[in-house]
Amino acid sequence: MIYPLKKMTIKKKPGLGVKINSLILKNPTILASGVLGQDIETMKRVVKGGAGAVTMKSLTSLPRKGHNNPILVEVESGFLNAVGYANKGIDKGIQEFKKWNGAVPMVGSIVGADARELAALAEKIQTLPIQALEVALSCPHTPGFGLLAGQGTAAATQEITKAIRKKTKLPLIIKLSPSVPSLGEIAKTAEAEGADVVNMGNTLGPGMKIDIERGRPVLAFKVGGMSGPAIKPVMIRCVFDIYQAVKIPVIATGGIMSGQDAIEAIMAGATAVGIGTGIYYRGIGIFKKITKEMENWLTDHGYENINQLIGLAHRS
Amino acid sequence: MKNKYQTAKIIGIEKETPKVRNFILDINVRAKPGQYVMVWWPGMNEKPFGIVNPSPLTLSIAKVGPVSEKIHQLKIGEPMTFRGPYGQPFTLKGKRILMVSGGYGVVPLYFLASRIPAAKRKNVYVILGAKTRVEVPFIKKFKELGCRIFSTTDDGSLGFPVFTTELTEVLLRKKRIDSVYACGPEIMMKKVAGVCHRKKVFCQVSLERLFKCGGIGLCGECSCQGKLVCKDGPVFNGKILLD
Repeated sequence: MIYPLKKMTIKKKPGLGVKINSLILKNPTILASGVLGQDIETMKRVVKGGAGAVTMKSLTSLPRKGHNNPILVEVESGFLNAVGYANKGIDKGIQEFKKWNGAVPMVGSIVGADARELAALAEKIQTLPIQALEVALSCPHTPGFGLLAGQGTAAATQEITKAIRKKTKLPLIIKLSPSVPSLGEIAKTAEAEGADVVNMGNTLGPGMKIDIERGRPVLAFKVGGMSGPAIKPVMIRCVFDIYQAVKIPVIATGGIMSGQDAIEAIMAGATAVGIGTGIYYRGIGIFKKITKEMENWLTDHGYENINQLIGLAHRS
Repeated sequence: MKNKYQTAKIIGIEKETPKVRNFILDINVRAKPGQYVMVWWPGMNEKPFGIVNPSPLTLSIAKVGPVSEKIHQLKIGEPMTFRGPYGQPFTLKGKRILMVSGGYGVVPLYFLASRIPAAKRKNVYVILGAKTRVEVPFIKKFKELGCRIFSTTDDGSLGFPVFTTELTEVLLRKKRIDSVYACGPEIMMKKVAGVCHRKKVFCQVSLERLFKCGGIGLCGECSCQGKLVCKDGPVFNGKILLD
């Protein structure tokens, strides 16, 4: 029997690896801080789920109980959360994460009340096998931290970035809030003080959900940061603005659920995407799914490499 | 949108033991044995509670902290708000079944036993462990189901003067048990799981952890060896406790 000869073209799979400062990622998906990031065993599952990098849940100087329950409530197209930085503290965190096997890069994460505290935390956390350090200046629902400590301004960003930069040589990621004005200016300040990456960003808001049967806000803290599909358009605009303002790479976090969402964020100017709430909607394997969807999209549209899309939407 | 809060009225309250009350609500839910709901006390906190019966929804609540103390003050006609059910249920296997309960662990086991057809319940052996005679919960309920009950108390005021784990070993040997379901203190479940593992008997345990997001599986607070107790559990193969 003679088989008809097919016209064969060997298609090369499009490249999905990205570089963020010195971090080399096999794909542009990163586990966002605060989701499943409390222990190594769970992080390993996220790696199996296909994440290109993982970010630990933020550590504070001392252990924190966080807010009472409910800390998370589902709303239309997303969730509101007010966890309140519940964590075991920097010392226990170091104990937990020191055995990280380095299957993918781990990003350390710290939060604190002011520049001095954050600088001390940065010094301490460096002993871990982390490949970058993220500092969130943007939590909308924890007294004494982030926006509620006045960290969502250019002045605060300047002071804090400067103090941390002196203490660490790790690539420094500053995580900003989508809820403040003058984002471009804040990002520029971070860049000028030596930040290597901007993560855009934290949850939006705060917002509130009231249960009308009981006539009370559901979250114990009453207000919480919004995450999920609903906030994506705001995040995209923020990434677009920041890409114009700075030269350092941007990580887009907020509402990324699919490969298409990721591509949109990358076209706005992101080099990689953070994923958190998406895990609820698509499981821990969301990282693999998104990577595959991006790969398919690139193939369908004749692109060879994801890096060709970074900032594409800025064409005149 | 899942994860919606539902508010229901209390239509019945049973005093189970001095510390435990069963609350019957005027609502039916679809739930399988081993699942739980998150009960919200507005302005205060939210806690997981095992399901005794899904229709009408019945919750057995032990007075152990501020939320359960508040709940114990509730009267018939007053509202209770919850979301769920959540979690993975027990897998019923085999004919000759052993349930091992320590203290308040009895709740999901009773729901499981009630789902076994009445004619087969004579092959369901239940070990009920508690501190004292008055604290042995659900003894009457299990009797009504027709299960075979072996009670044991720490102070010897009722039942066999041995630990639940020792009783487990005896029953496994004498009754040719096919599968074991355990819920109670983790140290007890660990021992039960160990015995079952050695004797190659199927064993499931229901774990307890502090829940924050509770069933949604995002916060990672309840992680146990990479498994989320609130979502991947609370029911696991006993092996999870043996590493």
